Amino acid sequence: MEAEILHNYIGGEWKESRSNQTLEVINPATLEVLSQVSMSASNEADEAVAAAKAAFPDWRRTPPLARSRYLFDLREALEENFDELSRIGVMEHGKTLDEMRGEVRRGIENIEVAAGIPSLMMGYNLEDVARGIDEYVIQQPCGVFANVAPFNFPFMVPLWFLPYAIATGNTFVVKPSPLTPMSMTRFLGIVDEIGLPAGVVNMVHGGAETVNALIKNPDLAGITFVGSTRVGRDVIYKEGAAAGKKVLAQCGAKNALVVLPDADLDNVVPSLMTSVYGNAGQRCLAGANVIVVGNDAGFYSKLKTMILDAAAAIRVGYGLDETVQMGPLASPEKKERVVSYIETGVKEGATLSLDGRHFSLVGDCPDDSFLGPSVFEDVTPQMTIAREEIFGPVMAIMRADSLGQAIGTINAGCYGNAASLYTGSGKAARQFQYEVQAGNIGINVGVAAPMAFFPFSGTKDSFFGDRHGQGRDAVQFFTERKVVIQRWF
Amino acid sequence: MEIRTASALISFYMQLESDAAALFEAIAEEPGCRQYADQLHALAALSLKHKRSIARTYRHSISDAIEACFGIGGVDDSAYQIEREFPSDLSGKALLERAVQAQQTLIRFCTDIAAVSKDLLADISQAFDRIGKRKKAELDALLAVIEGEEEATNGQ
Repeated sequence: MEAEILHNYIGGEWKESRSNQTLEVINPATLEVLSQVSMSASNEADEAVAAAKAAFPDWRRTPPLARSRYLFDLREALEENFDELSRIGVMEHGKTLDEMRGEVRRGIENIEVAAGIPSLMMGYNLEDVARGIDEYVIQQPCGVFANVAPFNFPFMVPLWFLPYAIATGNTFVVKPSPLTPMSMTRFLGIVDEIGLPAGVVNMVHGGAETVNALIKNPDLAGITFVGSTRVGRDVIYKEGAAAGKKVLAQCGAKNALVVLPDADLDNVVPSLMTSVYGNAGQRCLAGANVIVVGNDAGFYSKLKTMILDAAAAIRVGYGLDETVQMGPLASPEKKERVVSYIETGVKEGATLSLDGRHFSLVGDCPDDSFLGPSVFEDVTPQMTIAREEIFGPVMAIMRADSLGQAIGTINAGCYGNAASLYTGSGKAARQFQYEVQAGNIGINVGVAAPMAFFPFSGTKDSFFGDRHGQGRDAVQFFTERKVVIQRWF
Repeated sequence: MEIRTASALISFYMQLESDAAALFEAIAEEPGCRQYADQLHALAALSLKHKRSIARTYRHSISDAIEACFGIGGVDDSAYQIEREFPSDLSGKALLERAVQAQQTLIRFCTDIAAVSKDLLADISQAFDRIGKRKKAELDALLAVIEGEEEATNGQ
C-alpha cells in the first residue's frame, strides 16, 4: 500500500498538490516510509499567499482579545494532542521522546505568550506635544507573512513566529521542511479542528521552488526562516530584502562551551552531554567546541575522563524507546556528512579520543542513520572541525590559557548564536556575558534556549534581520508603528 | 536497568504507583484487613493523585532547559520493586506489612530521585521531594492507626 500523501492546507481546505512530484518521508531510525510529501509548484505557493491575503482584512479587524481566544483554544487542543504530536516528531525526525516532548512544550509556550497580545500590542501616547496637539503610536499588522521551517525542530520553530503573526492580525503561510513535514501537517489539522477562520493560517509543502515563489510574491509582507547561513543570508535575506520584504533569518552556529577550573564538574558534564549530543547535535544551540581554560593538567585530565566516560555510556537507539538518550541523525545523508567531518578532523591532526563511527546500537534498527558520540582533543581554532558547523554528535575539546583568550577564540569565529560558560565566579560570568559576541548566553546552562517571552537572539552570521523570533521582538517584527499627531479645532 | 532519562523515570514511577495502588486496594478487601479498609483505599486514591501531580510537573517542565536525557545517574530500577500479587493464606499482619513496605519503597524512590536530579531537573526533583514527604506523612498516619488498633486489642 502506498504511503499517504500529505496535502497542502489553503484557504481552510485540504488540497491535493497539482504537482506529481513527491518525496518519501522516512523514519530515520527504522527506515520505514511514513508518508509522502508533495513538492508543490510555484503557483501553489502563490495560491496560499492569495488565500492569506483574502483572509487578512477581516482578520485584522477581529479584536485582539478575540484573536487571542483562538490561541487559548489552540493551546488546549495541543495539550490534548501532546502525546500524539510527540510520537509523530520522534518518528519523522529521530529525536528522543523527552526531546520531542520538550519541543512540543516550547511550541505551546509561544502560543501562551502570544495570547497576551492585547497588552503586547498596545502603543503609547503623549498629550500636548505642542499645546492642544496629542501624539500617539499604534501598532498595526502588515499583511501576509511566511515561515520556511527547518528539519530539526519541525513543530517548534514555526511557532516562534506563527502565533505572534496571527495574534497581531496578520495571516500566515508555513512551508515545512520536506524531510520532516508531518508535525506541522498534524498541527494544521488541529488548527482546522478548532475552527480558525479560513485563510488565516495556510500550509504549502515543497522545496526550493516553493521558497523562491514565496520570496518573489508581491503580496508577501515578510518572511521568516531558520536554517543554514548560506540559504538564510544569500537567498532569504538578500533576495527578500531586495524584494522589499521584512526578513528574519536565524541561521547557522558554532557554539562554544567554556569550562573554568572552578566549575562544578558533577553538574557540568551532564550539561555538556545535553548540549553537544542532545538532538544528536542537530541544533543551532548545540555546543560544539568545549574550551577548557587554564593549565592545570589534573583538572583537564579529570574533566576529560568524565567527558569520555559519560559520552561512551550514552545509549543510542530509536527515540520511542524511553531508555534511549540519543537518536539517529535525521537521514543517512546527514550521517554521511558528519562522518566526513570526523575523517577531516583526523586528517587535520586532532586526536579522536572517542570514535562515534564505532558504537553499540540499542535495539535492532538498521544503523544507516545512527552515529555514536565522538570526542576530539588537541583541536586548534584553525581546524575545520573547530570552525565549521558539523550539525552532529561531535565534540571538539580545545584549551585556552585564560578566559580572555577563550573569549577571543569565540569572537574570532564567524558565527554568533550561543556561548556558554561554566563557573562559580560572578566576576568571570560578567566578563563573559559582557565581551562574548553571541546572542544567546548560558551561564552554567549548556543549551541557552530563551523562553518564549524572550527573543531568540543571534548575531553575526547566525542572524540576518533586525528583530528576532519569540516574545516582544516578534510582535515588533510582525507590526508597523503608525504615528498619529492630532489636533481638534 | 539503570534509569537515565526523564521519560524512563516518569514511566517507571507511574508503574510503581499503579502497582502500589492495586496492592492497597486488594489488601483492603482481605478479611484480615477490613478494619483498615478506609485507610488503604485512601492510600490507593492518593497514589493516583501523586501520579497526576508528577505527570503534570514533567509535562510542564520538559524542555531543552533541563538535562532530560542526561541529568539522571545511577538509579537502578531493580532496587525499587512492588509486587501486586500475594499468597492467599497471608495473615492480616503480614498483609499490612506488605502495604507498609510498598509505601516505604515509594518513599525511598521519591527521596532518591529528588537527590540525584536536584540541579539539572529542578522542578522534577522538587516534585519528587514533596511527594516523598507527603507519602511519609501518609505512612505515619497508617502506622498510627495500626498501633492504636493493636493497643486497643491488647487492652481487651
